[in-house]
Amino acid sequence: MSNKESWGSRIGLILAMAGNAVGLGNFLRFPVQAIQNGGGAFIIPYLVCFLLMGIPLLYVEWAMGRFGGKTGNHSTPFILNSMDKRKLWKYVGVFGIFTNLAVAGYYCYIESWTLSYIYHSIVGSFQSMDQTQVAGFFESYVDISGSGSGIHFEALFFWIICIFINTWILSKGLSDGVEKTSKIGMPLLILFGIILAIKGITLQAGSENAILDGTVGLNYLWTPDFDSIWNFKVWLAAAGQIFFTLALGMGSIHCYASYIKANDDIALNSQSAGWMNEFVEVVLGSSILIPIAIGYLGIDTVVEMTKTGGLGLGFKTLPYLFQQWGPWLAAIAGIMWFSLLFFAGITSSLAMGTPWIGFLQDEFKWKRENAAWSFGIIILILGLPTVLFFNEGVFDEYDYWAGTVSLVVFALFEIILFSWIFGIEKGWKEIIQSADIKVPNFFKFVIKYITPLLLALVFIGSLPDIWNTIKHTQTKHEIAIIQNPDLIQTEIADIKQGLLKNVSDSDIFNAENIMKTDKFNKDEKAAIFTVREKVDLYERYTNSEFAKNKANTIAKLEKTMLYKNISRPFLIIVLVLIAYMVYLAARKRQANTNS
Amino acid sequence: MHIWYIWQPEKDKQTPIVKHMNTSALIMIIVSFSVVTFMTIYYFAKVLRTPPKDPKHDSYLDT
Repeated sequence: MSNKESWGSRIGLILAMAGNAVGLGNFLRFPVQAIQNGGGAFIIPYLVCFLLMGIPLLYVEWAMGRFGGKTGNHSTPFILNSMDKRKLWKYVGVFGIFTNLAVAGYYCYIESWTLSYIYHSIVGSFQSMDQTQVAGFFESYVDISGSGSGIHFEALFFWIICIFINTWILSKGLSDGVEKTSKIGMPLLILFGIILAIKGITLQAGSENAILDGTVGLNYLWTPDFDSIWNFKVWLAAAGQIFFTLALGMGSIHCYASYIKANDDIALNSQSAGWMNEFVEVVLGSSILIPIAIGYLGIDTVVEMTKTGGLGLGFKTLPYLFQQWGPWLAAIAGIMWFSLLFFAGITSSLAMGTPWIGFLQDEFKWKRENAAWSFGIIILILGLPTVLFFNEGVFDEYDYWAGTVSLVVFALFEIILFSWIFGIEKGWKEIIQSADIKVPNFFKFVIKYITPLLLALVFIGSLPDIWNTIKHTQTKHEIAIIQNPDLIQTEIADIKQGLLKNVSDSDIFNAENIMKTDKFNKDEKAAIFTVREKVDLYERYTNSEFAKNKANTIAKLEKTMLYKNISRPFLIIVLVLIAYMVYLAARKRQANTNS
Repeated sequence: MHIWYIWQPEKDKQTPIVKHMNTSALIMIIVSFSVVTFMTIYYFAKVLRTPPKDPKHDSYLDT
């Protein structure tokens, strides 16, 4: 094999692996998931899933990677095939390349936002903007034709720069590119995270326009609702979060681990990288976004805002809140926050490029530089629809199929291969070989029985959501209520007669500080927000101005479904093309063996 | 339930702002942060303390 790359140092490997795991989700997704799934109690299913699914899969993926690397394989099709010779596994391994390419396609776009926001923090674009203007800045930024800053096609410009940076670093090689970036990026990320977390927690009500202390946000985020532990959806959310945060089921861990030498440890390395990710997520991730946002906006507003995820808070709100700290501190905080997100993003996107590069180097004898540039071109083509049609939902569609469903499918297959086909005895030997720590035997049982079972449950639990996504259930419902807003009134009446039967209309519509009061239980609180949201929607849809644009709005939603439907076969074509390349590579290998 | 109350120099005297944390929230924070921080430092320190298996032929290039 021509691929002779290796890691330059153990610390470099661990930081690169931790960087692969630490992503924007650590700061933007985790705190929102915690708020929506039981607050402090969320950490219980979260840590249980980490113990029973996260740690075992880390062991498994690192072990599979090093095992494949021993025979010169650095991409999942042939890593999996080295564990079982049946053709099926080569094609299951296609997911390990496909997922990385497809996710990199849209992930680099978010990464480019952070790059752009660093620039705007430096030049002070957000100074003297109010909150609506900062939110509007983001809206017009992602609307390619418009521009919040007056620079046309700015989003495209920063996106291309971002792809260029990724490609250039990847072309430098594993040790000189990826590893050096991680050695600089990860310590800076942690440093910036600690500084912002201290600032967030020590926020004082009354100073710098804050209305609440930073600890109020922390308190709200961590107050446990132990009833939520009995809710299956909370467990599903915790399992999902563990999956995304550790970059499991992607194939990037296998690829990085395949460059480890046969006699090197994977047990301690995997734990060190995995726990480092947990530190960034649990400690830093919960101490920045929510404490600062609640400190300035109050609990009710933030609860409302988190309904659409953490991206809005991170990009539409935080730049405005930083302005309350004065121009200099705002610039510094903005640079630190978006640099932190940028480092989190780039260390992950670099990991997404490595499996494709490894595949081309191994199977088609491409030079590293050429393989890296081909990665750049592919994500440019693959990502373009997510950039151009961001508002048409193409970005979300990629995220759902490549960044969510694919991961679970691949992880389910790999754990079956490792535990039941390769065999847990051989697999266990792989894990503990040259280990610098004693791996508890408990994990042998967990890897064989518990993790596959949990993964199967996660997959089965996701099926209704997959079905609804395929059928565009949500969008069709939205169209139905636009056409007939009275449906909203029926929904409101149902909620009032159900969950809110003991709550007066006056409280439903006028009560303040709902999340802090003990007057309502948690279901009633959620229902009050839902009713208010539906009332706003009803007013909007029955407004005479809206009536004029009703047809346009419906046409826009139908267009969204159309674009999503187009993006699906596009992703399938990419998957099939990679499978075809794997087929060619396998034939090439066969021909080499025969000759 | 609240373990401490600190009066703040708030803007609006009519609605005094109270710095407080639920005991349960505080316990969750202390336990979670401690476990995660301890394990991170423990494993990382172990990595730093573990000498290369064969210093003369170290498989990493520059450790």
